[in-house]
Amino acid sequence: MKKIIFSLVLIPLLTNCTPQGSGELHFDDSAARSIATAYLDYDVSPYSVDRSYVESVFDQVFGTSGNTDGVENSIYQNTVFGGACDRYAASDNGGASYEFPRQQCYTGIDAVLPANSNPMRYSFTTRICENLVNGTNTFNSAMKKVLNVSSLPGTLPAPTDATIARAYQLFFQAEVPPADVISALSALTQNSSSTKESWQRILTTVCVSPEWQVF
Amino acid sequence: MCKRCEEKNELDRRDFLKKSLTGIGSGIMLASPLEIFLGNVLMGMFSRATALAAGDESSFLDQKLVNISMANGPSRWFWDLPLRPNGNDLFQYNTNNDPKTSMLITKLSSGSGPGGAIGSYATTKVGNYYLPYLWSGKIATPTGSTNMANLASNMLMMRGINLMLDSHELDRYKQLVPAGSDSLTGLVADAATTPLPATGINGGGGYYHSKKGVSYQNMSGNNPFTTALSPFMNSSGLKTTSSDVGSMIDRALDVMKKHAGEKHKYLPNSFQDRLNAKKLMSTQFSNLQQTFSTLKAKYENLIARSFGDSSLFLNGVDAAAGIGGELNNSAFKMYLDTSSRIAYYTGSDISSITGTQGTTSTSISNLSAGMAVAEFMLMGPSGAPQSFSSSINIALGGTITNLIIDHAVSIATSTIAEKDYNNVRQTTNVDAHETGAYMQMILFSRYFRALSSCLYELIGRMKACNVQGGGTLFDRTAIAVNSEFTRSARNGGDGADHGWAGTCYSVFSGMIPQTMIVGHINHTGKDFGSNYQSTWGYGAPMSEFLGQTGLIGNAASTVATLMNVPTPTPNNPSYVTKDPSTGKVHSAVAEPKNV
Repeated sequence: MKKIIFSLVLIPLLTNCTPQGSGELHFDDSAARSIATAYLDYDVSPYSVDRSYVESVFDQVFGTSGNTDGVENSIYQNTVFGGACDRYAASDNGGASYEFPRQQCYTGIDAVLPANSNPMRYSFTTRICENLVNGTNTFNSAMKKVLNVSSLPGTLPAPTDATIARAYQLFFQAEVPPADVISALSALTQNSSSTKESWQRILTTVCVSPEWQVF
Repeated sequence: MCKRCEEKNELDRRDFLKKSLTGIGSGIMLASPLEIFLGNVLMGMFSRATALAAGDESSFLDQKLVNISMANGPSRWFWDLPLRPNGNDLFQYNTNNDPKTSMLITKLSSGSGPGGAIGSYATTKVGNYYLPYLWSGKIATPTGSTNMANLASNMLMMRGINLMLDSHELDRYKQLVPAGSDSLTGLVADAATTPLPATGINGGGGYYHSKKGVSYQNMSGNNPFTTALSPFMNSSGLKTTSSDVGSMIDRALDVMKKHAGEKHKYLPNSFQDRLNAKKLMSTQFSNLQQTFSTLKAKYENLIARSFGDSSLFLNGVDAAAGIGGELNNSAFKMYLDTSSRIAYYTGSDISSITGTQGTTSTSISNLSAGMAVAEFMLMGPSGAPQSFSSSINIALGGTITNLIIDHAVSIATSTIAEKDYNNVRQTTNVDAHETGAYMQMILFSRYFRALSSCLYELIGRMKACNVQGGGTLFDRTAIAVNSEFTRSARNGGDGADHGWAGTCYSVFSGMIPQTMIVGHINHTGKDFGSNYQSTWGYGAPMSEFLGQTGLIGNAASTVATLMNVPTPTPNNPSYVTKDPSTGKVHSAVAEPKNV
């Protein structure tokens, strides 16, 4: 009962504590926008996504999970991609493998490791992207998602604005690509020797774009 | 840039061979067979037409910073801490003003002091100032020697800097991160046009911070160039690096970059990182291990000669008639070996203390590797105009290794028996708490002669590289030389401790038009402690800083002024101002004085 009484007394006090008259705060649209984007003005370093995130994107797009395509090793054994690890995960399980190999602390990393953008990251990314786009199974996996089909047709359809947008969205979920980005990606098909090569160029470009690796 | 460098190097090669043949007759020291071999290998590397891809002139357009961090705090009054810069400044050796028991000894003469020698704080005039006596000597070059004073032509010495804290680690960090925010190395990297904006050897990542999130790449081991560049090697089969498809992809990414920049102001940096990666992936690197080994050998040779080449010895420093050691005299006390055992030099001739070098040479840990990294990262391999990095941190180790000791006797401790050292190789610690006055002079003079020689060689390489827009690479580069602290001299001459309240900080750059000295020091040092009442460098108030002593932030602001980057400590003004029309700096404070 005491709590209820106290609350009843307190509510009017709180509701009346807003300044009146000329000092009243108004949140107009411009103020709201500035608050919404205020974080952009902070002078802080951008953080690149960690190795777990990068690998998960490759898994989703190219179906690499569990494959012996080298992606896991390339990403997880590479300090430039950052990310946490667990020293205890490297304990030997008695067999020939580690219990949790994906969580190993490679090359001396321990604890959480935020990673900055750097040229090494994009060198490794370029190699991985080209490897995956040129691999038959991984390319087909990505194209199924682009075309939204469970099995690919015998002849790949030429890229359209809509399918190019889907290719873009494999890496940028829920983001509608601007028209000039669609045009720029569409221009990659010029002088292409085949429809497949056109798609390989588009997928490679979106894959090597640094944008999806920086938050 | 590159062609001009190669022409210059071809001249160097002819000049070198000529000097090698004419030897002493030309007034130049005759090069040893090792030097001739090294010289030919190096010059051959510079002149050969390599298979390297065309380089990148734009990588030379930015400002470069090389930071050399001397671990363990050597006593710098032998080199870049002039204690009487005007020749007649207030000065005292210690409480009794007695040179026989003072640490502040830069020259020995025959006399009634320890070991038959009497010491003094001697100087030599260089430019408008009186520098420590060591500057009157010679330093090694790949082809002979030159006067050390030539190194001071573009040198700024800042003294009397109070670090406000006594710590090896933290004071080392403060040289680059004076306020715990951005590091000087990071700020320079933020403005870099090079593909690996910030690099370093032997650590440094722990005290690196970039405002824009530009990363730092550390190198180590016996093949650091490969460590740095291996992510980009063997890329020839990739489509994204080929000219036709790669260019189309670049154009598409340019459009994506525009939108990305609207979302996140730092995203364009990441796109630039990708282009930097592509640039390096398009380059064919060859013989990186050999290139490193050859460059390192060049600097190793300079260092070894600085310690053991008697033709470089300076009378009264490395050699003095009739002066030997003395058992149980603190002037000849020193650390020996890695367990910091204390010993006394008891030999009959101090000139032999670093002995005949032979196949295992005396060295300063990480100096030769660090200088090789700096030269390669600044100017790239021969034949391609490519600067790889704009911000390079060289963390030296804190020891002098393979020092040849004859006739030293260690004192017994509870755990270590007394031992005679006769012509055996030892390591000595730069953290010279228990190294006495004469031994400090003998060892640190050689240490700084070696550092000077390496700096002179690196600067010479930079001066030979003309860059777009006029001038040379040295005109766009600052080499900062700092340590955790200098040392506070004990009254009795038996050692020196952490002089954190009076450190010094030097910069070499083509932007510095002459020998410059700034900063006031207290000539008694008494406020620092009763055991340090001498002119060892304790900082004194400066009117320009409203009665405060110089701080490390003032030194950082000075480097930032040279580099055209924001200072990490805007509340601490620079010691210099820069003339935008000439690119040269001039002092913004009064002439140095002792108070």
